[in-house]
Amino acid sequence: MVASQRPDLAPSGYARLDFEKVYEENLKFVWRAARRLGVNPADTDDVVQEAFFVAHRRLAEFEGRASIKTWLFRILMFVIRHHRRSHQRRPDQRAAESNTDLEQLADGRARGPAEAAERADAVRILDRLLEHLDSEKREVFVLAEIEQLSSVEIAEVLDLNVNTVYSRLRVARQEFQRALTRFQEREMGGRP
Amino acid sequence: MNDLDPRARALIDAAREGDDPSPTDRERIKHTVLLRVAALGAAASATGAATAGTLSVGAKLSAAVLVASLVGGGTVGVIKLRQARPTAAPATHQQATRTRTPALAKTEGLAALAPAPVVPEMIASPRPESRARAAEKSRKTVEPAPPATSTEDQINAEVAVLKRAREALRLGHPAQALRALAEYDRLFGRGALAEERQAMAAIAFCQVKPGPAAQEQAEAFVRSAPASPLLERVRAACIIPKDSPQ
Repeated sequence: MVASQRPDLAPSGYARLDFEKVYEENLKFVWRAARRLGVNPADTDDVVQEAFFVAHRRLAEFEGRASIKTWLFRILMFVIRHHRRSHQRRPDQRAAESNTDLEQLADGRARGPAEAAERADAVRILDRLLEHLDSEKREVFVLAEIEQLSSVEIAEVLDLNVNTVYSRLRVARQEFQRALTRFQEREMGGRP
Repeated sequence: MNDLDPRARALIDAAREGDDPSPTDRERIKHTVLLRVAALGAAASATGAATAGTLSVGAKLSAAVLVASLVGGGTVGVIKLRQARPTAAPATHQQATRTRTPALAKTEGLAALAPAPVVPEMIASPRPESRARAAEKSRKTVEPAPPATSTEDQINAEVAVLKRAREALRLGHPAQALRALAEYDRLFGRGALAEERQAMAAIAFCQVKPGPAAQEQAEAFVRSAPASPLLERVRAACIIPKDSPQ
């Protein structure tokens, strides 16, 4: 039987219990979104694992009214918010973990050391700039600019109306842009 | 709407592909999720059997259940998940008291300790009232009365405490890890994840005060759990040679 004829298929094409397909196709963005939404590297495993654990348990209830990506984002957002409440960390710990992350990033996953270093640097700078946004603006910004969800999808994920999404995104972009400019000025100014 | 300038776009594009999970991450997380699901299902089945009176007091759950080890920064291991003391028909008051683990008696206190699994009600459960009614009905039909918290809650509570110990070890605070493990003992006694607890305690002791006592504890773990996936971590932390007698 071809997949589209199976009665247990959600409209998006996912078999309701086909967890592995959902996992393989979506791990990358769930992982990335968790990182960019401020989950520290040491906790990324736990948060991503928790999100997929919940997804596994709820997959049969997925009705396909939203895309699977939107649905997973909603779960991820819930897990991250819960995680933030229960894992308040000291800044020095976060800094130490951030260094560890950079070491991990330079482990040769990319095509070559130079590219790995460049990407690791971009990740580090991006994370620093994102720290200038409060959590509401950061969520909208990450979903829009990094994960490239539409405003309607973001509204669905975050339970906002679309106008609020537009408004937050506009301010977030301005703040991000200002932070980038300041960062570059500092970098340039610091050079001999 | 104000747009980002090309510098910002270039930065985001460069970063987007710079932080992907490695193939190892991918396998480890999937494995852990599936093992958690398996452990949960098996533990729930065992609890159902115990509450129905099909297990005698003190009986051990003979079927080993796979569960993800949370020790060691996400290392996936396979350990035996013990039945957390079946509660069916205790013969004496003392026995009844003993079989009711402290964890089961402290549901409210554990609520804060047991965040996982997080079930996003806003997504998954539009009818909380009906769920509550179903739970109430279920409580009324099962005799003897089930423990004050579910097996799932208890396992998650155990995991939460062990995760704190693991995190302390990872950050180089073995004394803090030992305090978390003492809390584990107080709350759960010999809980479902006691093997992991024992391994972490051995590692922590070897870090806090290396010496004969710590070595003895580590060797005791090696002897008691020769097939543990945590064996190598304990050996490494306590410098026990692989050919040491078990």
